[in-house]
Amino acid sequence: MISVRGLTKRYGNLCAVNQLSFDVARGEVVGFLGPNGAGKTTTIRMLTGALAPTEGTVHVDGHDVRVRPARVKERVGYLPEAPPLYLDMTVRQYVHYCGQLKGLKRPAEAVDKTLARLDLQGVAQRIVGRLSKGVRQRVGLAQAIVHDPRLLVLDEPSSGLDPAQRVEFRLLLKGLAAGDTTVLLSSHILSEVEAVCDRVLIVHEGRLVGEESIASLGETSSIRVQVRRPEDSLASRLAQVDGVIDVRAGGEGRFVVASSMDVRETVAEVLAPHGLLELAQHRALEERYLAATQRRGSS
Amino acid sequence: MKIWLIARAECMSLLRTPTGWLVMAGVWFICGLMWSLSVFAYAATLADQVFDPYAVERLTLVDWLLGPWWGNLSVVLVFVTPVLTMRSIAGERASGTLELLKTSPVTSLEVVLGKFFGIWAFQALILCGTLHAPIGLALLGTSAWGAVGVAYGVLWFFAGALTALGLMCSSMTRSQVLAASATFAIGLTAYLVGVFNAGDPTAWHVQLSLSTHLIDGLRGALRLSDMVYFAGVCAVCLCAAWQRLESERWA
Repeated sequence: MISVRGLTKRYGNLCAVNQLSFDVARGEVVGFLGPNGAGKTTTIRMLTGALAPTEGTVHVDGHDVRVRPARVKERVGYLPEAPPLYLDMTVRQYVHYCGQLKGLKRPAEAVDKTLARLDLQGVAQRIVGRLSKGVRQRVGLAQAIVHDPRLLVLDEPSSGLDPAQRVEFRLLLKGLAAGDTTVLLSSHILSEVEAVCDRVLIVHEGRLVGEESIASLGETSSIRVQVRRPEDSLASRLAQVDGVIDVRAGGEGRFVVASSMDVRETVAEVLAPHGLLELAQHRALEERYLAATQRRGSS
Repeated sequence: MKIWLIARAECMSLLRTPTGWLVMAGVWFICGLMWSLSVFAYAATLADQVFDPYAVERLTLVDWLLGPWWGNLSVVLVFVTPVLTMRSIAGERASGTLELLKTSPVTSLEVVLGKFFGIWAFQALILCGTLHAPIGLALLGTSAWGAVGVAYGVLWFFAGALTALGLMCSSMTRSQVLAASATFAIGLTAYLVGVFNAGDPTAWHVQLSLSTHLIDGLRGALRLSDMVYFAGVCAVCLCAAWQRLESERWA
């Protein structure tokens, strides 16, 4: 569905995106991760045709964004970090207008369907500017899906939402991802990415530094521990625990224990005589994300 | 072509917001007031010249009443057009909705032309609201419809040139205040250069002035060169706005 090859964007001397290449298959839900300034939004803007690349190519559904931008834009739904809302329109007027902009000849039916899908019928006649932030976010999502796009690109869709609104929005995303629409989700919220995506791409300083499937991440987990009285033999004793794959010592009695099963109880038993100070399970995605971005950052 | 879709949205947006209604009501109020004063002044002049039949013949409605009033209307347009155009692109850029247009299957040229025709249509509504003056005269039995048609046509083209200028300024910034200020400053300067032409009226800066190409039209004389001038200003300013939007893609 998406084929990116050697994508580069330079602003003067600053290289925001550097030789980025990746593919996304049809129907796949892919998380796009990276720290602030990593080049995620720039990449997304090039994918959606809002920005032209300095070098490289982007193909969406077989169409080159540079050669046939209109074809690509018809197929893409995009929700930027700040939803692009006309605050003086009613919700229905706004979604209708966006449908027409996206090329729908008779958008009324699509508008009704979209409003129903996002539970917006109750506010259809209300002015967008008078809605709460959570509802505005849903209205923003409505403009992105009204034309039933083949590719849905979401840039930080939950930013600024409170925890309850985030959960609600995540459920919405799950519903969308369950269809055959390809989704590219850029987010800082790793739990959200883990819950929704099939695969993640990690970018840092404009380069692709990691690529993981969520299913493979589920096979391993890691725990971070710290003891008051560490010994040289402690790492090897931890490595002998059933299910432990790898033990890394971090200094000052800190260890990271990677395992293929839940080993917290056994590890706690081993470490208790040494003055266990901390035992925390870490999400595999978070580990991979930090490893990928810090490795690149320190190199 | 999505030009008409964007034009309709732009025009409706002005009709949905207080800004559009305030501008429209303000123009109509000021023009109504000026019309009353002009009529009283014209009546007083006629009364003064009552014993001079030749002078009365020279005091035609177009030259002494409608023409100066249309001139005042053109000055009012210089003041209000920046308010109408400032939000068109700068406002969309600041609110993030320009991103929606950029990621929709719409070209930058369609966006610029759509916005232009939307605001130009709104200005046509404003001008229609000032037709009470010639209609009132016609009801009293004094009509000069040829001159009225020419004057309103020229005024509409003049408004179009100001709108294109405003769109160009709006495309250059994300600050609506800056866009409005620049439009007003450039528009007023281009207008006044022709009004205060103490020197050679054929000088290039006088020939480039907006008011120079307005005067004959407001007296009922249609000149092709004036219309070509206004169309040229529109074309240059709209091209600049279009290129500014295109350049953002390649920044």
